[in-house]
Amino acid sequence: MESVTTDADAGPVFRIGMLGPSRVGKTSLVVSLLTDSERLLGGTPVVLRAADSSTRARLRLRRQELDGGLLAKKFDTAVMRGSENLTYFELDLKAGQATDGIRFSLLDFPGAWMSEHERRGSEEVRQWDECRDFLVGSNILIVPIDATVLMEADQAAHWQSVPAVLETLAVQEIAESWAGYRNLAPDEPALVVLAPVKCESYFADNGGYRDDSQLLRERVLDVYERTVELIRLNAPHAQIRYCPVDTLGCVELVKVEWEPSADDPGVQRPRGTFAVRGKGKISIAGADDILGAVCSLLVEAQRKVTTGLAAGHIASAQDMEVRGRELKRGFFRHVLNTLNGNIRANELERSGELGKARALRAQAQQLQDAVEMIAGRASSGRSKVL
Amino acid sequence: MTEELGSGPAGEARDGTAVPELPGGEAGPGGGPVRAEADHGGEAGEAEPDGEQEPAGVRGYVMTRGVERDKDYRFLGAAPAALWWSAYRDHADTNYPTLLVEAGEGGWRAFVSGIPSARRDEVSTPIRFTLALTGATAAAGGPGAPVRLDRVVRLVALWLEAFTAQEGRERLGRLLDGLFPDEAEVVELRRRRDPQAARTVRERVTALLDALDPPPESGADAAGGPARALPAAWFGAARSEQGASAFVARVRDLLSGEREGRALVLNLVEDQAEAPARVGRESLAVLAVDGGPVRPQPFAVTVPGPLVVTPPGPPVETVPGPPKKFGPLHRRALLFLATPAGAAAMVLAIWYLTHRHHGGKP
Repeated sequence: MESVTTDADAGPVFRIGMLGPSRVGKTSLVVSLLTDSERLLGGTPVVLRAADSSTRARLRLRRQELDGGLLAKKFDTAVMRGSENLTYFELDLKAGQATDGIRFSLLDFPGAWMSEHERRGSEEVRQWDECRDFLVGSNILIVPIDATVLMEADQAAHWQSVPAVLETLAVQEIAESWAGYRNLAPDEPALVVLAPVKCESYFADNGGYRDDSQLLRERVLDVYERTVELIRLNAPHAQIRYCPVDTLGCVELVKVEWEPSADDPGVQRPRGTFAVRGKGKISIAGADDILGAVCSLLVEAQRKVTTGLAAGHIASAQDMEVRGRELKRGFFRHVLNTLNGNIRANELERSGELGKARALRAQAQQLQDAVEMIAGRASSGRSKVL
Repeated sequence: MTEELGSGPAGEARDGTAVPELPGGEAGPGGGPVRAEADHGGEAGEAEPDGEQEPAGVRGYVMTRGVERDKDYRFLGAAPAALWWSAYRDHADTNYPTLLVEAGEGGWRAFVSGIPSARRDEVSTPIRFTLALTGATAAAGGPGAPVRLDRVVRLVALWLEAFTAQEGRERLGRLLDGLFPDEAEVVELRRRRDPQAARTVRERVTALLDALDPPPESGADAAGGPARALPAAWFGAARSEQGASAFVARVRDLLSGEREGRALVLNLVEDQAEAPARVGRESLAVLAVDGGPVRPQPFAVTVPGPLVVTPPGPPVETVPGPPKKFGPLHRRALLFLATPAGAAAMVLAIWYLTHRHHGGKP
């Protein structure tokens, strides 16, 4: 299992895994992050693009569906369809004109596979194994959490159902494996984003009527406390961020009914009803914090790689300088190496190495600038480093 | 629950659409070897529950989901032995409408996704059905095969209608909703992997096919019609009636055993360059969901048979060059001339130093 694979044409490929149960909003979040990046990364030199035609087409299909749902003002529904299978998105992140693209791969999957009793067939087991390998080997784990489940639980029976509804044990198990794996490669980027979604009714900064943001944060940290502990224990270098997101931004939760599960005894599942707020203008909030954190981490990783490559070329140039002195040592050797061209060839090679090092240093500087610009841009103010 | 599975409801779907009677008896004659399953059986989806003969050459599987959020998409009762459609991962996103038909060696298989159900899941998203069908071609199947295969052609035609603003796919969805009207039963069938559950689902698929009218053979796809006049491999648009008509005719040929090859409606492909390569002399019809020419166009590029890696040839004889430490010939010549010159220069230098020494101390 490799977290950073290498593509012969495009260099290292980083991985981002989405870890959340079925219908939590993984796909909606993916589409918002990947197709609205120009707006989300506005003011930075960072550009996000599909790396191949099939990813471009996959994103287009989902964007059409999302936009169609929003135009039809289907705010009482999850706009995006559920997934039947594993879906990979291959993307390129460019952070400056002179820089190479940063290739990364993002995986979306049917969330029910996280539940062991839902993986009965050998094909489901095989696909989950593929999925799990990807998640555990990812550089970045994004954990979407249905905020309504946490905020609308007000009875013991609701709280008893929360682990089953949010699949918290499966999240914890994978996060622990992820952290153990990350610890084997402490130089590689490592980030976990706890991302409560559907947060419209709990923030007052985006058209909402009340501010329960502190309570939401406390509940997320309470429910995922053990997960955070295990990550810190096993991968002390990993960043952990809390980034709540308003998935639509123009809806208000009207009521939630907890209904007994049809085939999970003792489990109740919340069913929310939403109403449109104001004129129903979409105003996604918080997604830029996630994308900023992801891009910043990947660009910084690329900067380190680029700086390392530049150092390698400088070391080669220094070796060649030493070799050049050797070639010139002694009269006869000097004359001989001049005449057969060794000295000139060595000098050309040395200046070539220096040129590559200079270009890479310029790229590293651009990447550094990009990281600073991402960090310096206005954020929603909701995001916290844990 | 188990007792209910063998005999599903008949009558009306939720929206009043007539729902077909479900077959009550055992499978009829037909079946036979299916190249699709035999060739790709290595990666088993889930164990086929039994080796029953299929009614008139069609074995059907249904994938859908339950209302509750953890009841994700899954085949009901049994899954096909191989998830062969995953080979089209780069060309089709099966979460969105996709149709794939492959035929050869007396068998065929089809994958049909994106059929809308009237049901909605726990977060109110519309649920959909996916069908996987497999069987023997009309030529290789039993006596009932041509009739049932005609209905598969009809199913393909109805599914395609959605691209030309007609409601065929919704009709398929209503029929399937009528055949699987009970959420508790859907959840139960999702859970079960046993022969009876598998048989129940297959019977519902048979009932679905029986409920479809036999397809009228249009002028376009009649023998000698424009659809039949197309080359063996062509590329078109799903939104074009011409393309759709030619596609249905091609599916008919594949299922009847007249042709071997593939007929594909792909949603990640916009032009020929992105389509799967034609292998050998197979028949290949591809419709793009987005893009594609209104009039089907012949494939510009055909891959002649399976890709063969050319073995490396014998080593090429080359004239041995000069030893590397001496460099090219002209450098050697220069060296040859420079050595005596160098020696002369040294002699001259020694002479000069000696001369200067003597000159310094007269």
